[in-house]
Amino acid sequence: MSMNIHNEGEIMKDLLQLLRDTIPLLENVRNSIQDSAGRIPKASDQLSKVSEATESATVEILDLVEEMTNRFTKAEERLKEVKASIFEMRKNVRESLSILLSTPYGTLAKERYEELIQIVFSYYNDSMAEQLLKETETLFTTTKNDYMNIAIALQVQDITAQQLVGVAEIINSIQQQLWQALQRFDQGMFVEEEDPAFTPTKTYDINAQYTKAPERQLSADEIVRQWQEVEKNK
Amino acid sequence: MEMKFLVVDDSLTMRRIVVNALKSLGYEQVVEASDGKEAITKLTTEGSTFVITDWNMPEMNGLDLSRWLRSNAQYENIPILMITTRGNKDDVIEAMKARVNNYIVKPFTPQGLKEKIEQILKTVEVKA
Repeated sequence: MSMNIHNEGEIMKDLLQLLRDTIPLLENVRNSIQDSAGRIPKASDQLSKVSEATESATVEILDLVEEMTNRFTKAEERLKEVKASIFEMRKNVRESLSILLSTPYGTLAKERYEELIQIVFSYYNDSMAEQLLKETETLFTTTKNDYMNIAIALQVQDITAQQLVGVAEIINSIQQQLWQALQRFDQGMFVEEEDPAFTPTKTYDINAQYTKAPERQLSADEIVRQWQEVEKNK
Repeated sequence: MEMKFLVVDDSLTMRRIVVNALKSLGYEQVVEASDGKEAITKLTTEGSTFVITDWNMPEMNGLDLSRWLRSNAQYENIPILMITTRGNKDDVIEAMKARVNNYIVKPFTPQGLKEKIEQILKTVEVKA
């Protein structure tokens, strides 16, 4: 009997000790939750700042790309003018030679007409100049295409910005769960740092994807096609 | 009549990219708006012959804009092209129900944009 009482006393002692050990642990858990919940608004805010920073950087890049494209467009126009003036010059030279050769003084030179044309044209019609013009034209076209591709790739900013807003919303829902857990810890007592309602900085699509794979577009095209088919037959 | 595009997107980046792509395709007349409400104001004040709109936008989203246009006699036949990140089957169906003419899933390419504009214009011509 006394043995039993002794055992129960020991158990109670152990239990009390366990409670003594557990309370600070629970207090630590509570503080950790409070700390984590408190950090979340900062995390959301940082995500929002990242979005803003990438948007302004993207706009700066787009400004530069536009500026460069405009410069190339102007250079392309200038190149066209140069080509047109060369054609005009050639035409004038041919006409002048023809007139010259039709005069009595030109009869002797008539048999050398083609040779003369070659000599005159060699000053501005050599194959190197021709090649250079062609290469410059190609360079302008490919560079402008490359600039357009850079601009198009920058859609990634809009897509990732939407993903970030989606992530911020998930983080905020976790925060709300944490506040609820805190309230349970505090036995329903008012928690000073009340959970703030999350207001997304922009509308978003959490499933936004930056992918060049054509499947999503092809699938959309098929739905549009079927829809239009049905509409046509109505 | 010269084409005049109205590009509606809350993302400044996207608006700039779409406008650049349109210009590279030879469409110089472009007006911009950052949501459906602003788009309606711009339509009234500056006019437009073709609307390119995003879906997710504050104030008035692309779907509501499309519904508004279709319910308004003045704009009921205006071509509408939706460019959005939403690529699920249900999304496309919802957009078609809101009577957009065609649908592009972001990220788009200038070639894809050109094809869709031409397809829409062809359909509109046939109807006219």
